[in-house]
Amino acid sequence: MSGRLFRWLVVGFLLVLVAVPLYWILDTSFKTGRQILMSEAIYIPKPFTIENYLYLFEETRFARWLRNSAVVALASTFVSLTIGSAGAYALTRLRFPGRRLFGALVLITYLVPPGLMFIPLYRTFIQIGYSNSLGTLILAYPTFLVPFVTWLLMGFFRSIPRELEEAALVDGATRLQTLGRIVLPLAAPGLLAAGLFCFTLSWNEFLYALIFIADDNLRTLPVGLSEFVVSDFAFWGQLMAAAALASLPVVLVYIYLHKYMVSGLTAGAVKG
Amino acid sequence: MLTAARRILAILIVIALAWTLQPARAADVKLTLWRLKTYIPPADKILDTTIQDCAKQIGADVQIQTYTFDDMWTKYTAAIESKTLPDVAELDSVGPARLANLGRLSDVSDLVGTVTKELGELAPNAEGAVRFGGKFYAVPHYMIPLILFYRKDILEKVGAQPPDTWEAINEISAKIKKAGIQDFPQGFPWNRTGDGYDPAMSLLWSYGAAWVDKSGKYVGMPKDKAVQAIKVVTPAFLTDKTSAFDFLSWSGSGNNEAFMAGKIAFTPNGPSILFQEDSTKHPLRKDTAIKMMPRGPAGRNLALTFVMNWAVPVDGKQQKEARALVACLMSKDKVSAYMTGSFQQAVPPYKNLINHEYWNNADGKVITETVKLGRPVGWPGPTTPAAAEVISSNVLTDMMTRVIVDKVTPEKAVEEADKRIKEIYDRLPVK
Amino acid sequence: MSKVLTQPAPAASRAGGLAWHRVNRVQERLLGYALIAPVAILIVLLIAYPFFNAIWLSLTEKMVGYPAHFVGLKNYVALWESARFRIVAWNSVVYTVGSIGAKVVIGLAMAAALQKAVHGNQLLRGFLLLPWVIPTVVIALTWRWLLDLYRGLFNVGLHDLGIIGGGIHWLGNPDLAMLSVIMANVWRGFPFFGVSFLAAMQTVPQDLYDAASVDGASAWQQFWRISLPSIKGVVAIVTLLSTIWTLNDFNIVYIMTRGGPGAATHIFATYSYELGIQSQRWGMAMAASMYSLPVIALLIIFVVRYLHREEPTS
Repeated sequence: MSGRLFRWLVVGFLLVLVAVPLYWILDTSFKTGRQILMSEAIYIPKPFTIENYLYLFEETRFARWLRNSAVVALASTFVSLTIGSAGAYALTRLRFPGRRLFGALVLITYLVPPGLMFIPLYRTFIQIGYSNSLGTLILAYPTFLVPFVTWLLMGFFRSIPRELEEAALVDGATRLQTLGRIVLPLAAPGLLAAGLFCFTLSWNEFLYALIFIADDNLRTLPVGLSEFVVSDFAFWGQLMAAAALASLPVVLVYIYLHKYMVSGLTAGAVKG
Repeated sequence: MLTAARRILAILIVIALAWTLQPARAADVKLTLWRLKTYIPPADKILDTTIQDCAKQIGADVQIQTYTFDDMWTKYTAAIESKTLPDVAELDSVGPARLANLGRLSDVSDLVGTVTKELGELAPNAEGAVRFGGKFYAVPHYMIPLILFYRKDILEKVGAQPPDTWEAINEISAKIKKAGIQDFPQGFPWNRTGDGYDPAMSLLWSYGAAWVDKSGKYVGMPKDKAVQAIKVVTPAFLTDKTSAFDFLSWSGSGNNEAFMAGKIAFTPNGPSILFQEDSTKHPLRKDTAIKMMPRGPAGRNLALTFVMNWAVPVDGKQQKEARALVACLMSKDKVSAYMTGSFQQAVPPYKNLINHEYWNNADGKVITETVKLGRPVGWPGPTTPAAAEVISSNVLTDMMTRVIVDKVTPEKAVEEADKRIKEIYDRLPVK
Repeated sequence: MSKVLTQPAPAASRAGGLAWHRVNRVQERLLGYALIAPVAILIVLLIAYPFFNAIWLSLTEKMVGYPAHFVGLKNYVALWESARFRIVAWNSVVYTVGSIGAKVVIGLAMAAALQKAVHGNQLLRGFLLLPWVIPTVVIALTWRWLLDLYRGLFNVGLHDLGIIGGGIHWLGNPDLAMLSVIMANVWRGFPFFGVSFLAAMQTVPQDLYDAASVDGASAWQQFWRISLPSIKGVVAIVTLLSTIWTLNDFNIVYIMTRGGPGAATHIFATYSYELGIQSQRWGMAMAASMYSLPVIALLIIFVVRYLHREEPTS
């Protein structure tokens, strides 16, 4: 089989694979409840309606969920990037006893999955008396974001030549100054990639948000979405509209910045 | 010009000062209330309005939080562990037993006394869920009975009478399938939702397979009767092929949608299907009929799993105001208003309201009869934490799916279930 | 500061005196600890502490609302003897192996197909990365809807194409249900594999391929003999990471099937959730989760050894 044919087959298959579910989301979101229930006009909505989208903002707390998710995602990203870059710098550029061990520890903690940690982590928050608030999530998300960010940035930092910093140090700059003025700017693509990662993972997180937050007003998007199907009657039209809108912010952010995300994945996987 | 501007500015400043200096309102008492998000949005709206009216009446500020049947225990688990239960909690049929056993609910016997004076005697079968050790730990609000929905027109087509027994349902389903009208007419979802474990209890109890005695203590699952019951409903999946495997998946909405999409002829559900059909002017509304769930050799022992009660957890610091709120919510006009606005979903288990004019129609009668015949979770004993866990751990529906999905023999499935039930009762002994 | 970037590093960096270096060492150490402190605190308070708490919990009977009391290995034994849990463990393996296997294959295919720098490749790569970006909850719900028995696109489409008569029980038939959740997992995860492999492949020097072409090797042979071996390390790491995530995946199964029908798609995380929230037994829930740890530990050891063997200089 020629390389060309192979390429076209694979690309074609993947395109269809990705496009079909996306199409189904949009298709359903523009249908009326009756159409969906009675299986009328499956492939193209007829009549075409935006009532589902309107419903989201008029009758549900969708806007609230959007805001909560945004707050948590942005804050978690900021916290994780700060902590992670500080740690990555220390681990790659500074020498201190226990460095190797600590580096390994950071990577190992990444392997403790949320699916296992949700109850004990929740108990911890209850014990310190800080649960059921957006801040709880902002504290919880770095537990799986920071190890990954650290790992990713370590790869990036390593690829920045030491000489640049050493020259600056000799010139009288402090370590922190070299971090801020040389290393970080050069690692900007890495930071951007790491930031995108953090934002995406936080935006999508479901389990912790489900368990740690009891307050209706503090619900994030994923949990809000799952609400549409748990009742006696699944409102698929509204649900798909919500799904489309919930994906939009990350997709937009990503469309503009996906180059960095890819190079970030690369650096992590290849160099790390 | 300038003087005019200055004058206006002066006036504005005076107004602003007056506004900020107005006497602070007496600090409102702040209460939190958790309620179920039901399947009937208009009823929810009535309840919210009622709650706010009552709040004004007692001079409090009430913050309402909602939960669904699915995430109820996620929410309550969190609150139990962090000791942050709301001031007023709407609990389901097992909530009072669980929380009272933990000592987290206040004694509301006096409130119940007041309510029964206005609304009439409390139905005895409603006590099992809320009365422990002679005291009431929650005030019953309403019940949602599970009834059997069926397609009148299809039954007529195959010349069948509305079924009274579980076997009859099998026979009619087979006829419907044979006539080529529907592939999977029998929509019994033995899944992990109320639509699964409620009929499961009704089924077992109608064959005399209850695992506790009148005091609620464990006596063992009567193996033969349980096996007999299982053998009646599993052939629909295994041999007759009149039930679709998809009903065993989790969603509580699958059977509703399938019924309204015209794909099944029988399904157990709360009255919400009627509401959904009415509100969407559904073509099948005229063909949708309801009946009480079937009886078995041991009679008709229908489970009352959807029972909503108002409780006052001890965590709250405003016990007096919380109780006043509940008393207001349970006053005659408020409960009647909710009932009549619920599209026949809510049956308050009090004499005057069960026998109300509102239920005096064909559908209404089926609904109230079911409530009158209903048995609390934990029957023939009261609702206990152990009984609650048997339900919340899905022991009964797991027993069914072991046979249907894992192809285990009914005898083995019953044995496993009994073992699980015994373990639960050992861990949560009944006092 | 711009001086630094335009001038070559002065050779005088070695001069400057030992004293300067000694002070610097101490400063360096302090700074190191200071910068690592936030990470350390995070790890200790919010990862290590809960983790050991989890181990402790798994050795107790802790029901929600009640105090915990020690029961030793009782939970572990009970799970070991439980038919249902054995099904859960097996499902977890099937789910993980199935998903990872498919993702590796599709990832390699994607990398091989996009390897040549062709116009529009960037756009294509971008589009194909979408499933990884979209919230998992959305993906799970969408797949549930796609596979709906009566109205889902799959069944309706297959019916309209004349391929099937009635509907396929994607989520009701126990075997198909497992396949369905695997499909959703693969759809979500393959871009990560594809893009990582692609990036790794692009670091392979073109001359190797040119030399092979001259020698008469086909594209297929080149892939097997050059591309694949060169990216072994990345394949190993990506597979390891994804395996760990997938073994403890929660969202997809929870939303699509809740572990049903029966326990046909129940995996560690969903079962643990059921035990913890529905049955209200936290001790038992933790014991169930802990069973996945030995597998993870073994995997890590295996992969780390493999990597060290391949790249002794790492």
